[in-house]
Amino acid sequence: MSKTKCLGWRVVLVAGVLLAVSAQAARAVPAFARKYQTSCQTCHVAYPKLNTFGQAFRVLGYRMPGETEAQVKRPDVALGAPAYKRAWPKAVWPGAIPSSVPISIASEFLVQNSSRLEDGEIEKVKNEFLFPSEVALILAGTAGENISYFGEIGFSRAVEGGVIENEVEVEHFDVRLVRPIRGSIAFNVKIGAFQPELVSTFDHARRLTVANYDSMFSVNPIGLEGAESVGGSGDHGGGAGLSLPTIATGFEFYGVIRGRLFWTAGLVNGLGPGEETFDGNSGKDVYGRLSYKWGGLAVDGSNSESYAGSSKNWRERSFSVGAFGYSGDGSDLLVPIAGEDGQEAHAKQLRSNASARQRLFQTDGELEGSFIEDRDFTRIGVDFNWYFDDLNLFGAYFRAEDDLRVFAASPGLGRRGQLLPDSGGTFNFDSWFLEADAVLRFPWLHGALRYEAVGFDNADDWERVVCSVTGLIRANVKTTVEYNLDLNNSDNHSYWLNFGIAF
Amino acid sequence: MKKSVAILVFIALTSSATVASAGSLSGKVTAVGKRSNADAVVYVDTIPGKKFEPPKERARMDQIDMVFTPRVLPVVVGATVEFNNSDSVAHNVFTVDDCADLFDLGSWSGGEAPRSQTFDQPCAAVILCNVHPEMEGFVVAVPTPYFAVSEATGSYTIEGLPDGNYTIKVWHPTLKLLTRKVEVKGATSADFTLKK
Repeated sequence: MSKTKCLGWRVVLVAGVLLAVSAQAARAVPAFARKYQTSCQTCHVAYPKLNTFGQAFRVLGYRMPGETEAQVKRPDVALGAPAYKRAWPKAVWPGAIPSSVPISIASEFLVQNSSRLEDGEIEKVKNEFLFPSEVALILAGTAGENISYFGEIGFSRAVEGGVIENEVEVEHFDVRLVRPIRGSIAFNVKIGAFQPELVSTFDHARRLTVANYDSMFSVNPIGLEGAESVGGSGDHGGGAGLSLPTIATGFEFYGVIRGRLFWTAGLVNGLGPGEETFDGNSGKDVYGRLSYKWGGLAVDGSNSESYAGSSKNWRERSFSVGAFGYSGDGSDLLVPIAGEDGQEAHAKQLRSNASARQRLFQTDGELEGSFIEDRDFTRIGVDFNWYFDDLNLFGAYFRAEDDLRVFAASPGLGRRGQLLPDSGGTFNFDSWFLEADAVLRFPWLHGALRYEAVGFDNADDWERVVCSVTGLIRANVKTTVEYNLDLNNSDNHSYWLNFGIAF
Repeated sequence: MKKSVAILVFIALTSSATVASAGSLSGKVTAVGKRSNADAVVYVDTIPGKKFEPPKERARMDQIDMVFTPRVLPVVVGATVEFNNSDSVAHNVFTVDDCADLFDLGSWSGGEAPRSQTFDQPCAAVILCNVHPEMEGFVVAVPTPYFAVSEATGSYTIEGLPDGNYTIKVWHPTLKLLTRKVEVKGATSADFTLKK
């Protein structure tokens, strides 16, 4: 096998491993159904996938477009009469809390049959009952007229080599200031760990499929040469890839201008030097996205009174297009390359000791292991979202450039400071996917077909097809049958039967 | 006996005839987007050439179970409102409205004597209790004694309103003030729709 092929396999495996453990996110929020005494289908096509009304509800900080007091069947408990606004600053600004505890529970049960090629060996899993694969406590609501919050505590289980791995995690929690300036939706702020609006067109938490958008979230250039996955509160996959963040920690600003133009910008923590680690350097990552929607319900639902839409609330004829960019700073984060004695201990020392890191750069001493650094990386891309009645076709593409450096003790991997894998010092790849979701004749039957691909400049490409059918047994109970196949290696494939409930 | 019955019947007939000639205004207020149509004050605005003296009897707003009762109290300009505390906990009464001179009656315990405030200009004053910030009431001082507060269904009735052309105003704690000309002739009906 050539060197480049080897690189390619390593990258693919990062995605493959993640795929096996990424149980379907279940981010429906039944607490809102209770608050408004309405069905899940008011906002969801098939939970957790949102319809356009649900998207507007989310953008508005979990408030209905043109919301009236009468629509809120379980009003919040006022923490002060509204007139106290006029008494401010001599009084506390009036707030509110939900009348019932804003907690929802979503659970997933997964039957898995998979085949995976790893280091030349095929690992097969048959009839694996992950019951449950995930139980999530979802906290979401409003706290007065300008404050919203959304969080999730997940209890997930996965099986690796016959060993159950349990995990409890605060997956995300953010507080957002909605319409803080003159009541305008043009400017809003999120603070916390959140699903960034950067990827809202293909938000992993609201997908119809069990399989995640691995082409978008799970490609890990640092995984080249066998380095361990990176983590960090930027959660570029939570110890998985660093393609685009599924969860970002920091500040995000976003808004809707004239109902159609959506913008977002973020300043967030970046990579950590290893799995389960926090932002490892003082540099921050930044991102931005701009999109425009033609037709259909306005992004902020501002035309909800005049827009008749369809009698089927998932139907719409509209088209959105967006452009986005992400710039990350991974300098001084030395990720150990696996398989060499002592490198873990050295890596730990390097993570906590800046002068040790400096010596690595400046002295000629022997290295206790080999390391890889992603000094800076950029992701530039576009996305689109087309609704045509029962069909929703959407996709995204981005070009990635990573400035990688390898610090190698082993001659086989190169010299200290040598730039790999190409002479230019950059590692490039292109990721894209195209997905067609459709309501299949009945409103309770939904199909999804996705093609996704990653093209590496210096390694083999990766391609996958995902085919999924979801049936809503009830508005809050569903089952999904799904198959996915690595098009470049038929030994990598999975069948899943998923059952979910949210309440 | 027969004579006295006849006198009573005569008195009853004549008095009801007097009321009928004064007329009334009734109808329904719709508060768009609200859970209830209650708490709208429908009142006759200033009548040119007429000035109404405030009643000698004081109006009364109580604090019962940590709620201002009634929540909305219309009075004639110049009237004095007595604020009572029927609870077992201390309450305070104050406003943030200039038109009510930003009054603050201080705090007092249940069972203590009521405290009062005169509203000597047209005003929709929010009434707050700084001990319990969620409490909220309104005293609406209007220029004429012709007013009514809508019920939850939205229905209202202003009795004893002489026939004539009036400017009717409808005030609500959170909706836009509505103004409309209405001709009252006997028992007259008028509905109003309030919006944000």
